[in-house]
This record gives sequence, C-alpha cells and structure tokens, in this order.
Amino acid sequence: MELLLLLLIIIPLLTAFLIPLIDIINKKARRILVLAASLAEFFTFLFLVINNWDNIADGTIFIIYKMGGWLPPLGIVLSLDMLSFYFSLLITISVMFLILYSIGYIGHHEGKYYVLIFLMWTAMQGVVLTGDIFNFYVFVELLLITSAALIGFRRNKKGTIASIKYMFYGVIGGLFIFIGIILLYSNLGTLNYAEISANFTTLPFNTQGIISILFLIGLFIKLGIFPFHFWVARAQSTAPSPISALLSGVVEKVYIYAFLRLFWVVFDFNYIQTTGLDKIIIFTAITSSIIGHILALQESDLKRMLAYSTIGHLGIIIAVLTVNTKLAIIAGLLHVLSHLLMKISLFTTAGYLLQFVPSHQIKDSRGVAQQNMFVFAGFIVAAAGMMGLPPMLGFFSKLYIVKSFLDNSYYLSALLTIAGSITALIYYARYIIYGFRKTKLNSQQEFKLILSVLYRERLVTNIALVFAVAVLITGLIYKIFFGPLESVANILYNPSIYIDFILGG
Amino acid sequence: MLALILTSMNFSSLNILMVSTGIIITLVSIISSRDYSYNNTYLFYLCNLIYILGFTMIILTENWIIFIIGWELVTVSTFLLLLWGSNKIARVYLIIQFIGSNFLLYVVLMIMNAGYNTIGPIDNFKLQLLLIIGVGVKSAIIGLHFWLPIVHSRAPAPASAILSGWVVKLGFIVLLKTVTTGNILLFYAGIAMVIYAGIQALLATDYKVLLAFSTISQLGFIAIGIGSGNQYAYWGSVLHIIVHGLAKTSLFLSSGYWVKSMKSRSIYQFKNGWFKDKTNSIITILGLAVLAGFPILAGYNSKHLIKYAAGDGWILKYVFHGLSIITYLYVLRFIKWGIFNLDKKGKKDLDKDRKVIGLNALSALILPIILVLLITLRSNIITSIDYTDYHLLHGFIISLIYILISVTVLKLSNWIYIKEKPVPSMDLLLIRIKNGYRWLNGRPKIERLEVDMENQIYNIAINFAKMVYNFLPKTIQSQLLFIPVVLLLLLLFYI
Repeated sequence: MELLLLLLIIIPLLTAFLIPLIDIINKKARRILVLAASLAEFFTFLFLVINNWDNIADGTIFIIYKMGGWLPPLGIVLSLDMLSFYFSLLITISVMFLILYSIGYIGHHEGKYYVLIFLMWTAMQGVVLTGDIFNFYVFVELLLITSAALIGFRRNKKGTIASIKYMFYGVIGGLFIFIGIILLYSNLGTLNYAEISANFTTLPFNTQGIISILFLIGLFIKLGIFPFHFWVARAQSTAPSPISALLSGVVEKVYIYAFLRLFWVVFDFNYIQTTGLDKIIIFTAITSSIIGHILALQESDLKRMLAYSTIGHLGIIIAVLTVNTKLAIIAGLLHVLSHLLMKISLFTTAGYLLQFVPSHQIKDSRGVAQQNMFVFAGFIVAAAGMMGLPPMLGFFSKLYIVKSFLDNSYYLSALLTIAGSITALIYYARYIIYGFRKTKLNSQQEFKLILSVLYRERLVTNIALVFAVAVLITGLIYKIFFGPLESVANILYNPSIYIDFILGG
Repeated sequence: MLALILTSMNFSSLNILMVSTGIIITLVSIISSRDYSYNNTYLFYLCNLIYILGFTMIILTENWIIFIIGWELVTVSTFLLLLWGSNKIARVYLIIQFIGSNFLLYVVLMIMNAGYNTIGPIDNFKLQLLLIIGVGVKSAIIGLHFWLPIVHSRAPAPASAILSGWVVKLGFIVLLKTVTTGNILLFYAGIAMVIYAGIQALLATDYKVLLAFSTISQLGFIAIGIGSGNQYAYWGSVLHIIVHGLAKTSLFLSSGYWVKSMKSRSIYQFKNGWFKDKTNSIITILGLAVLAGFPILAGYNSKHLIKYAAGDGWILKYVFHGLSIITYLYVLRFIKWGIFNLDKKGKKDLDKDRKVIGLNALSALILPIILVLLITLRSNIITSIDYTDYHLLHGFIISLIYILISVTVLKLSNWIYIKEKPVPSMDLLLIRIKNGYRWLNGRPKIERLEVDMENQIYNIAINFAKMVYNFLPKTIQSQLLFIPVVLLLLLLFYI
C-alpha cells in the first residue's frame, strides 16, 4: 500500500530513463510506452484513491513510506496527507491530460520532450509527496532544470533567452531556499519536516525570521510575484503550448503547495502573524496581482497576455491564503483548482488556435473563430471563468476570495480583486472580438496550417475541450469541493497532527 | 447547487406575481421577435431561457449569493440578446453592466459581512445607499442612467422591450425587499429622475429615445414609492413595477412596428399614424395612457397610491402634481405628433401601402394591455390593502385638469417642435463632456470625435498599462537588482 507513494514518483522517473533505451530498439514502441506510463501513473493514483476512499472522504488520510526502512528523523520519508493528496490529484490528472495533448501537439518524433516532461512529472510529484526538506530542494531543482530545458525546446533565439532568464531566476530562488535549509540544518540538526516543525519555535526569534524570509523570497521568485515576475511572460510565451499550460497551470501550483506546506505546517505561521509579515505578503501579492492584470492589458501577444494574467491570479491566491482564516484558505484552494482548469484550458485552446495564424499577435487572430467554433467556445468559457462570470468555477472562487477579504477588513484587496476581473474582461474581450471578425476570402491565404506540428488534431481539440467543460461542470457542482478543502484547511491549522503522524508512526 | 437554489427560494405571492409578469414580458417579446428575421433562432430562445432563469433566481431567492449569480446571468444573457442587434452597443452594455455587477458583488458581500445573511430588510443607511448604487447601474438610478437611453434606443425592439420592461425593474424588486422603511436619498433621487428624464423625454425627437427616457422617468416614481417608506406608496411601487413593465413592453414592441411602417424613428415623420395603422395607434395610446396614469387604467392606481401617500406637507403635494403633469406633457406631445399628425389629402393614397399588423404582433401588443386592464379590476388584491375606493371621480377631474394644463402648455409652445436631434450615443456623451471642459477653458466647441468613445477609453487604458510596463525595468541586470533590495528591506524591517 505504502509502496504506491513511491510508485507515483518512480513510474515517471523510470519512464524518462526508459524512453532513450526504447529509442535504440524501436522508435515506434516509444509512443506506446509514453501512453502506457502516463496511464499507469493515473491508475496508480486511482488505486490509491480507491483503497483509501473512506479515509479520503472524512479527510483523515495519512500514508507514510519510509525509504529503505529508515525511521523518520534519520531516513527520508514520503508522506501523503489531505494537502498533498489534493495537489497530487491535480498534478496527476492535469499532467496526464497534457501528455495526451502533447502526443497530438508535438508528435512522436521528439523523444527528448517526453523524457523532460516525465522528469517534470517526477519532480512535481516528489515536491508534493516528500517529507524531507532537502529532498524537497532536490525535486525543486529538478523541476527547474527540466522546465528550463522545455522552455527552450524550440531551440530558437527567443526560447534560449527565455530559458536562460528562467534559469537565472530559478537558480537564485533555489539558492535562497538552499541557504534557508543550511540554516535550518545547522540550527536544528534535522531535515525532516515533522521534526523541524516540532522544534522550530525553539529557535531564536531572529533565526526564525531569517529562515522565513529566505524561504519566502525563494518561493516568490519561483512563483513570479511582482518584483520578481520578469521571467514569467517570456518563459510561458515561448514554450510550446502544453508546456506553457504546465508551467502556468501546474508548476506554479506546486510552489503554492510548497508555500502552504512550509509556512503553515513546517514553520510556524504564528511567527509571520505576530511580526506583521503577513500584511507585507498580502500587500505584495495584491500589488503583484493588479500589476499582472495591467501588464496583460497592454500586451499584444496572446500567450504573453495569458502569462501576465497568471501573475494576476497567483497574487490573489497567495494573498487570500495569507489572510489565514478557514474560509480564506478554502477560497484560495478553490481558486487553485479553478485557475488550474481555466489556464490549462486557455493555453491548450490558444495552442490550437495559434496554429492557424501567422503570429501570436492578437491583431493577426482575425477570424480565427471560423477555424473551429467549438475550441473557440472553449476559449470563451475559460475566459469567462477568468473574468468571474457564473456559472463557471472562477466566479465562485472569486466570490469566496472577495468575501474572505471583506470578512477580515481587507477592503482594498477586495476592490483590487474585482478591478482585476474587470481588467480581465477588457483584455479577453479584445481577443474574442478579433476572433469573431469576419475575414475576406482573399485574405484566407494568410492562414497557414502547420500540418507537421499538429499530429493528431482531434486529440488536441478534444483535450482542450475537456478542460473547458471541466471549468463549466465544476462551477455547477462547486459545493462538493468544500468538504475536502475544509479538511485540507484543518491540516494546515493543526500541524501537530502531521508531526504526531510522522514521528509517532 | 440546484438544491441550494431551490431551498433558498421564497414563493411568496408577491414573488410569484413578479416572476410571472417577467415571464409574460419575455414571452411576449419572443412572440414579437418572430416578426424580425433573426438567424440562429434557437440560440435566441436559449438566451431568453437563461435570462428567465436569471431573473427568476433574482426574484425568488433569499440567498445573496444566488441573487448575485442570477444578476450575472441576466447581465450575460441580455448582452447575448443585444448581439442580435448591434455588436457595439452590446459591448458597451456588457462593460458597463459588468463593472456595475462587480461593484454589486462587493456591496452584497459587505452586506453579508454586516450580518444580513438573507435578503431582507436592511436597517443600515450606508449599506442601503451602497446597495442602491450597486443596483443603480442596471436599474438606471439618476447619475448611473447615462447608458440607458443609448442602449435602449439602439437595441432591436424585442431586446429593448425586455430591457426596458423588466431588467431595469429587477434592482427595484431587490430594493423592495431590503429598503422597507424608506431611504430619503432614494426618494429625492426618484424626484430628480422623474423631472430630469421627463424633460428629456419631452424634448426628444426620436420615438425610442422618448420611450427610453420615459422609462427612467417612471422608474423615478417607483423610487419615490420605495424611498418614502410609506406603506401605501410601497404598494403603489409594487403595482407600478408590474404595470409599467407590461405597458412599456407593449410600447417598445409597437415602436418596432411604427419604425417599420413609417421608415423613420423621428416622431415628426410619423405622419398619418392614425390612418396608417389604427390597431397600433390604439395600443400606443392605451400604453401611453397607462404611463400617464389615466383613470380606469392600472397606471392611475399605482400613481395615485404613490402620489398621495409618499408626500407629506403641502410643498411635496404640489411637486407630485407637477410630476404627474410632466408625464402627461410628453405623452400628449407624442400623441399629437406621432398619431394625430394628420394630412387629409394623403388619406386615400395611404390605403395602398397600409401596413397590416400580423397575428404575432397583435398578440404581442394586446396581451400586456389586457393584463393591465385586468390588474385594474383586481388592483386591491395585488396591493393587498383594503383600498377599494380610488376616488374615480376625483381621478377623472384631476386627470382632466392635468390634461388641460398640459394641452395649454403644449399649445402655447407650438407642441414643442424642435430641431431633430441625433440619437444618443456614447460618442455624443463624450463630446458633451469634452465641450463642457472646453467651455470652462474658453476654447471652441468640437463637433465630432476623431476616435470613437469606446476606442478612446480603451486607448487610455492601454496607454496607462503601457506606461506601467515602460516604468518597469527592461534590462536583466536591473530586474535582478530587485532581489537583493527586497531581501535587505525585509531583513532590515523584520529582524
């Protein structure tokens, strides 16, 4: 049973190393391997869910895997509680769909692509499942290197610049995290989450502060919060569309997981609240959010626009999580889900629609709705979710975010959240209006369908639509997320549960 | 979600009455829309269905969140309905309404925060005021009404019937439930709305613009009734919401047929209306009489209740008589120009190209008027007060006096024959604002804009955003500099 946790990490890792070997034998066998491995990962997770269904339903799931049989303070542990489960679920399902999308989008002739994307999957599952802070750092760096390679996947000048810039920021962010880990280890002599958590308050007050600030800046750089947001637009716009969707939709969520795990469970959130650091976090995040929306407004490139909108939404999520009431955390986690679905949907539909236009410029997307009405409708649904129109999930998450801001008297933050969604209306409407403009027949020549890139058009459109439909459906049943998310919030509020479980079990 | 919607619903008789009125108005406009060759008919019906769902949620629910969802659904579905007309107007409408509904979301959450978990009476004056401003964008409270004449006069007739007949009332239905003890600012806003929009309607040269302004003016009466806090005036408002909704629907739908048969929207071009189309003339006159509050029609009952119950003190009494006269003025002016602007010579020629109103149109136009008449007969039940005697004789005499005064005034001013004005648009609004600014600076007026308003505002937003983008550093060295600076600042302040 516990082995399943290891399998979640091992399957993609093993696949990544198997792909080059299979290439030597038979290149056609690779496509079966890729498909089989992603399905195997999915079914492993499904198996985990089915086996522990009762515990998941009442929010008491705790699974621990001790690597090599070493007991927790000494050995590395993998652990799964409700918080990890939520994020692991999101990662498993969305990455599986994105790999299927990639099969249609990139095709099968790029072996390196699949190696990298499976390594990314390994890293993300690792970050979410690990119970050891150094292991966390290793997985974060693995995530950085693989995603940097994928950003520069097109091997052109733009991609290389973006990739190098991403590396710069990522390495510096990782460095801060690394220094924080060194400080932790030199002071506490342990790397285990639970043991750090149990002893963190015994540290001198200033040491606590330095460690918190180092981790905070490291994570903010990785998330792309305002003063460190400069890599976001470049990286997410030059990468191939499935990678953009992965970066914006999933990788950022992994760092949000890290933010939650580290600051609520491992470090003492009380420290942040007593020093008033939470006010600074909320201020920075909300500023970042509104600046992200403003920058998206001026952007004339569709994918850059979507990337800037990511900054806007991540700011809101970080801010609302830092408000630290039960409703706020539920709202933030709900927005994690809704932003994941909407952003992946937007990037996947945009990735398809951009095949028909000469460039990524919004001006060139004239009449793109004629190409595939359903995919364009999917884009509109996801964009409506971004603006916060009912019945999309985006509306409900926005509603609860604004409500939790107002409940705690953050009136300006609530107003800026709403201002952001109004700005979103303007910049999405611009693309949609261009998309509906009629094109004359003689300008039809401008459309060039790059057939070699789209391997399986049906697969691409269907998966793009799956996410768009998910945005709509989850909006209609948003109430069912409240129970599980409440148990996630309980985990965050009572770190002692986690400590007892790891150290006692 | 569905369970939540259903459990939060309150099927009180008032709510059901409101919902059924709204559904009748929607159905009537759907019937009328069959006379316009719309493509994608099923999508049109679907939008209407979503719209019905939206306003049903708004009216029936007691849950603020469901209310907001319904409100947004109405915004989206009416925007989609407007797409069958002009794209530009629909866009303007969506942006304005989206800003309004987002503000309403903010206000509603503030109200919930203050402890009002269900839709019910709110005692806090500030919250009431915020709610009034919040719903004001959709319900055209004065100051936030600027978009209404533009959108309602340019929308296709069925869409404007829905918008003017029912969508603007939704805000007032919410105010009926929340502002039960009156709000003095709403009361004075109502008076200002009646006077301002009444005068605008009186000076209008375009029939649909006239109707749009008259909507604002009649909404003013509803606002007075709710704002006064008097029980009878309150029930007068309830009655006026229903009656005006039905009458305005009929009028807007008939305006579509008028424009079709006259091939012009200017009321001075409506020559020989009576000869051309007697059915439509009678319906229009009946509808206008309902607006003006002529006895026997239900409009009289509602206005009577509002007029005599809302005002305390003799000054207000005279003001209310004045308000009634304003309605009579623009109604009579239109009847003179639009219907009885007869030309005896041309009567015979007209027989050839006489427009016969079809069955769709007939049912769409007559149904609301019949309902208004029915409501008159049973109006004491609707108002649920024992007020059987409306002093019919008194009503007749007063109405005759109003008509006499109005006719005298109109006669003296030559039935207000003024130069034809352009149909209002956002561009004209901006030109007016710009000219006001130029007048203050002593600069000459401008006649037209180089870039239209939508693009201008859009350009301002984009330019601002570009300014922000340019303000941020461009080189990677300066961008990376943020990291040590932020680190130092945080360490300085928090260690």
